[in-house]
Amino acid sequence: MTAHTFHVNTLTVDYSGDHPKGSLANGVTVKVSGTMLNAAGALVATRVDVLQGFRGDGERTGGDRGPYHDIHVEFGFRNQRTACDDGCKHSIHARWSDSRVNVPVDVEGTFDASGVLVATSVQATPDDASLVRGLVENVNAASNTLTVLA
Amino acid sequence: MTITTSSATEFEDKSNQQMRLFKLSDVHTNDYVEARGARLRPGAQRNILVRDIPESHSYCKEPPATSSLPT
Repeated sequence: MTAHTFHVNTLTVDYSGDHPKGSLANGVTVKVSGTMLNAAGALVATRVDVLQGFRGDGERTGGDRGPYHDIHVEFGFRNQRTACDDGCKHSIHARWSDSRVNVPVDVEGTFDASGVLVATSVQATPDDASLVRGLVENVNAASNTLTVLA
Repeated sequence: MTITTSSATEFEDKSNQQMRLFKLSDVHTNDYVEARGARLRPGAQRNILVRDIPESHSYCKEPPATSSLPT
């Protein structure tokens, strides 16, 4: 198998096992899912999505979210500490301390000049939590419920 | 799967619309969402509801309600 890699700042992503959904090019924003690093330290991607309408090479807009600076990397490392651990803002760091080793986390943020991912959001998904992803079939605002096809 | 939200539910919009004040009434049929949280009966009480970029697959992870050892 031919190795296929790209870089998100200092993070190398090996996407040999998945065909990216969209066209990879310099400056595009990607969402990468994976759970392990290979021997070379690259994140082994199980899924790569190129986010349409987002570009990461524009001038930073400031603020907390925006299409020009919202580089999104989603990962759960096993037995690894992430750059976010030391680079998180204080308020996020407090939440990060609640998570545990080997608990998958979703991290969103921006890379600073030194390549540290400064998180704006860290969400842990413990093994005992429920998780559903799918299309919404129905929304009932009166009962505060929705039905998801899963 | 039925998902119940409450005042404790955190709503987040990661779709291309990127709505800042995102709430249940902004969720529509055929939106692609992810819900996470603890499970309660009946239905499921979710702590986080995220509208996301549409994907072609669905996913569900539930811890077992009861467990028993094989005999």
